[in-house]
Amino acid sequence: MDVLTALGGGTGVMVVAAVSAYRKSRRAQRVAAAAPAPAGGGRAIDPTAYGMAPGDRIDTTKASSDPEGEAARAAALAGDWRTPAAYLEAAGSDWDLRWRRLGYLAEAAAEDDAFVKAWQAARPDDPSAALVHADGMVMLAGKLRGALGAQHTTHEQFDAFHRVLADSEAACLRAAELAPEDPSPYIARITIARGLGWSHERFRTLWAEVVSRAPHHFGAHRAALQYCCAKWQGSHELMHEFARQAAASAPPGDLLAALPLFAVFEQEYRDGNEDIYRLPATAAAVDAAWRVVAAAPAGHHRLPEVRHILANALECSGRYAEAVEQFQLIGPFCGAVPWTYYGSPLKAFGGSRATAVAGWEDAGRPAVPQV
Amino acid sequence: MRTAPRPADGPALLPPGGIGFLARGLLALALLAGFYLLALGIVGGLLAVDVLLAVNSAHPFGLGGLKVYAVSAVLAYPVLRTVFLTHRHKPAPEPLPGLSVGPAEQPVLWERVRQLADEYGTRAPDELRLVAEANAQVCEDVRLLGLLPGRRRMELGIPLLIGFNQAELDAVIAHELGHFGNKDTRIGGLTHSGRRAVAHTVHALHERAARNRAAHAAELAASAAVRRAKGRRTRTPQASGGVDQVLARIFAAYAGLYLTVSAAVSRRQEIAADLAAVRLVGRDATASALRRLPVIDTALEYHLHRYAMVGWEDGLLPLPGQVYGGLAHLLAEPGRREELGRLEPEAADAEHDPYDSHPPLPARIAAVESLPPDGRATTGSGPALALLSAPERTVAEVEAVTLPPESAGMTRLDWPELARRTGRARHAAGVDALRQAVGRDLPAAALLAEVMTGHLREIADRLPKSPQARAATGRAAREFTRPVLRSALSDLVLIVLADAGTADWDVSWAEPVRLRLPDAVARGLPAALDAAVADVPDRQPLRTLLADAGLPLPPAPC
Repeated sequence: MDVLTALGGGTGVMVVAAVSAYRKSRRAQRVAAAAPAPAGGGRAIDPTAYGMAPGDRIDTTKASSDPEGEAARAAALAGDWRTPAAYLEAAGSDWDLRWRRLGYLAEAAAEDDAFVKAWQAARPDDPSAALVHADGMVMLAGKLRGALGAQHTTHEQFDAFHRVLADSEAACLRAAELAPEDPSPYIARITIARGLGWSHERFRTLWAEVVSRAPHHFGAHRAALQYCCAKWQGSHELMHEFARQAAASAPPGDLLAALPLFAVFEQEYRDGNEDIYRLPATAAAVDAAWRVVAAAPAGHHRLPEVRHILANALECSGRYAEAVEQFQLIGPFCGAVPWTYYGSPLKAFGGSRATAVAGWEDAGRPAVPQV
Repeated sequence: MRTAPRPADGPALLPPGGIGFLARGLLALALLAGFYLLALGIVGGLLAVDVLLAVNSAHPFGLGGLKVYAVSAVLAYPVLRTVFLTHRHKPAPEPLPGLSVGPAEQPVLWERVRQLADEYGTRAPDELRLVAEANAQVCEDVRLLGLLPGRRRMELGIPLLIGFNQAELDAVIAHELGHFGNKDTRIGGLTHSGRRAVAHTVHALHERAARNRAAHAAELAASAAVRRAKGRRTRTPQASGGVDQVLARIFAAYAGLYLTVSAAVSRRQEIAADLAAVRLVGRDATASALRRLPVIDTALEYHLHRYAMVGWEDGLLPLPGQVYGGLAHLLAEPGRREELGRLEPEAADAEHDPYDSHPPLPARIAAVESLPPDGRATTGSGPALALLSAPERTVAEVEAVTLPPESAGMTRLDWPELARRTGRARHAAGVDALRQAVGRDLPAAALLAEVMTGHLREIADRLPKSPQARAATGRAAREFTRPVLRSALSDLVLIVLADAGTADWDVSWAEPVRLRLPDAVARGLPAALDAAVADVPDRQPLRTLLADAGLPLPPAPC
């Protein structure tokens, strides 16, 4: 064979590859230019035509409506400690519910702790008051640091963060002393462990304290997943392994089955692409979560946040009919993971929702499969 | 003698007077020629492929042939462009460092240098310069690629004159004369221009690669646009720098070889120069000078950082001559001597860099000390600074030409006053901030009285804030304000105590400039400040502390 022809053929392939890459990028530019800004995802949809709230009616501050929790928080901010105290104590020994309710009160305490001071003055040894005080400080530390990456966080912010976080550790220990059976003070320390970069060994000791008190605690697992993920003290592998084990060991029907979806999203976000949804393991996790959600009791306090992560996972997996159904059930809220990771949660939520609807239309509006 | 890139660096070999000069010159030339040969080789190789294919092909101008020619042109172009066609700007000659001193001004030092040059049997330098670094070096303005000798220059660092005795300085001078005698400085220019040519090419190719990378990244970004349109974060694969990146790597590899070989040669030159010093001034003085070099260098750094330049930001400097001259105080302090003495073993542990033009000091010291004793003493000779006539004025003159120009207008103070003014200046910002927050231009004592009786929360809210602190609300805002208020209040208290003569800053050569407070104040102040800035502020402890220190304040309103 003629040498030149052979070589020429080779370079020809190179040139073709280069040209096709160029064309692809041009196509991408055109698609991007053609995409209507608010809806994203390819084309504009009218959400109301699908039983969904329009973009300008979506609440970006919460995952769902929770009047009782919001009332407790408002009372706390007004300086009343009795209402929040009763609200928290009504959770009894449903530790995950207690943890969820604690969130509203800690949020208030991080803003203004007058009610905590009054509560502690009235009942110095009240474990709930000590808990709200401790977790309020953890939350305050987070507010001081801010949510941006280390390179966008100032010395002043880090100093304040570390000062308050160190104080909150003592407060957590005190709360644990007052209520030895309650896992909450230990769960609050998971955030401290993350912020102060505890070693894996030290973290495992803390985690053992949590699971010995509440083995399938949803909030604790979500907090620990953060410690295990690559942006904090772990890695993709560690995070997926943790989530997989938690889901596998949870009782049948437990919403912990959705924990792997939070891990999948952490990776999606960090990698900046959706390749992970093509893995069979992801498909299996999405399916398992979808089944558990379909069977969950309607008023379960963890259901809304699980629907948000599930809706995104279904959309990214191309299961548009199921995704559309979840978006309908979510209602006019987008203050939840995954959307809150983005600069504009509303845009991320709207974009995913529009993609799901458009995909469902393109597929000829298939019915949601039976569980 | 030890650090700093030196134009005098260049290949040298083995004992003085050996095969040295010609061999080293040829090596330097070969390394430089090799660089151009590498470039020509790449271009020539591509050309050869084209020609061979064209000759052996039935269709030399068919589509395949044209593609190959195009690809070789794409590869050859950047090489031709960066190696042969770009005009390399010869850097504008920088003004020579330091102060040139003639034989009339410094007869004793010149006599010393000339005498040592005579003993060694080499031509003495034509110029002597005193510089600011703890270092010495020589260079020679050669002609015809180093075939003809030229004007010789020697630089001696003032810190060495301050820190060494005369025997040690002799060793330094003898070492540098060794470079002249060994003709190291003749080859230095050639090596230097070779290094410049290689570095220029690698740099230019890197720049081209960076431009390619930017263009490629833009293309990749476009393909991520779909995900972005969904409101999502995207991350695209690493863009590549293209052919220039590959070429840059090839030339960087050659540059690595170049530096490794030339550094290896120049390390041998250093050993040879050390041997020259041993011959001239004795084994022990040479070893002692080598040992003490890093000590003086460290002491100089420390002196400049902690003493001489502490008032720089506030426009304050020590008296003329003391910026460098103060090093003598530091070296004379017994505690410091001991501390610095402990540094030596660490210097010996330092890892060796293959591109270093000097062998590791421990190796040089060991080489010198392994020679038989020659009975020549190191001690008994006075401080080297005594070789200067009018040493104080001379050091001040070196300062004048080596300090940055803005030093000219600065206030010069004696050491105690410098410490005091610098100490006060460190606390001025907090006092000024409180003054503005209170809104009245009060003297410090009146300002403190105002702060101790006024609404602390309101005053704190008016202190300057970072954007993050301004954006915060409620408890977070309080947490941001707390350290700002505490620090400003602390500044104010210290200034008031200093004004009353209760606190003062003093300079000690045994430890850094420090604030001296009465023991009771030093013990109680942190807790008193904490109480004053607590959520429920309690200013009583601070009030008591100040009263005990003899500064009663007007009674609090509540």
